[in-house]
Amino acid sequence: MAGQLIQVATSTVTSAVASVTLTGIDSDDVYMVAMNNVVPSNDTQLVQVRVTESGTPNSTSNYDYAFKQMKGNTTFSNGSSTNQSAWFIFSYTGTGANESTNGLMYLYNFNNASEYSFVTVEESTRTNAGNLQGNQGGGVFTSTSSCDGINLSFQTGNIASGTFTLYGLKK
Amino acid sequence: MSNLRLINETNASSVASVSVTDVFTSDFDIYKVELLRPDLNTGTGTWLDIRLVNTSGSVISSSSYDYASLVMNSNAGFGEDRSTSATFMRGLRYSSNSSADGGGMVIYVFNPTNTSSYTFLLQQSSSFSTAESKMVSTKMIGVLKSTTGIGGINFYHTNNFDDVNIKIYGLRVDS
Repeated sequence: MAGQLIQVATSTVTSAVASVTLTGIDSDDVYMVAMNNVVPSNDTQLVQVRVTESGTPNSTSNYDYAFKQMKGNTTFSNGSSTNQSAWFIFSYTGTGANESTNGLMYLYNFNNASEYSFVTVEESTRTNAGNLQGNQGGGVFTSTSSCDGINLSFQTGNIASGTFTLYGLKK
Repeated sequence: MSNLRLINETNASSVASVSVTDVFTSDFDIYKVELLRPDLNTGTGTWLDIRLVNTSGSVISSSSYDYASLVMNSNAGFGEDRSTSATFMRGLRYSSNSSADGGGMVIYVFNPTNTSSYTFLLQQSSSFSTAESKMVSTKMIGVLKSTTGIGGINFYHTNNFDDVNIKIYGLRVDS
């Protein structure tokens, strides 16, 4: 039987909110988060990502990540960090015309309390400088807790608009 | 029912350019495009590239695309392929005329019908050239810097495809 992509939760932001939380992870399946047309209220912001435990974002210093940052206008670069308070795995975007973040994340082992939780990211963003930029990489949350979802916000200010959807990859 | 909905399947042969039109609609904001079995007569080491098609069915070939592609070679170092104000977005590296080689490519298209935003792409591909004993994988991001409504996608090459199969899915969001 072919696998299916089953919607678990969604949030469409049309008036500013501080963050979006998508919950409903309750199995060891792989989950996917799709984000489109995500725009901040403040200029020069990047989407920060946290796991949720019983619906509450975890902001402890347990987030490691690494990515290749591809750029349409100049040489690519690498990004990485350890022991952060969130995954900072998206590119900066802004409030200028047509600036937004679009991307996909895959979530692994979130439900499993015996293993760390992992994420991969691929995104295509028009930055606050009006350039094309996108990260390809991943991260780990170095805690053996059971995570039921994901929380997305900007570092400062609100999410002005965007659609965020959590899917499960089911048999 | 899966939220990944197959909305179009197109097969083409003996053409240098294939467009799938009137496939992006307001029903979906994100689409998954699969390109399979891109067999080519000639053109080892050249590229099959991507353009978008407006809602009138015309291929957009103006200098309105930016792209950045990480090119990962099995037998050589990695490369960076990027451009601003290009007339296309980079696709799959073509192989040779062996019946066994070829490759595959998956593209995600964001916001094609939204006339208040640009259209963004994610792409990844893998292909093999028997003549060169070379596998090339790509990861590409792209944007069409226009708020024109987009109805479809175009793949093209300087030589004819022997055969190609394209499947397009919409990622359904149930509110």
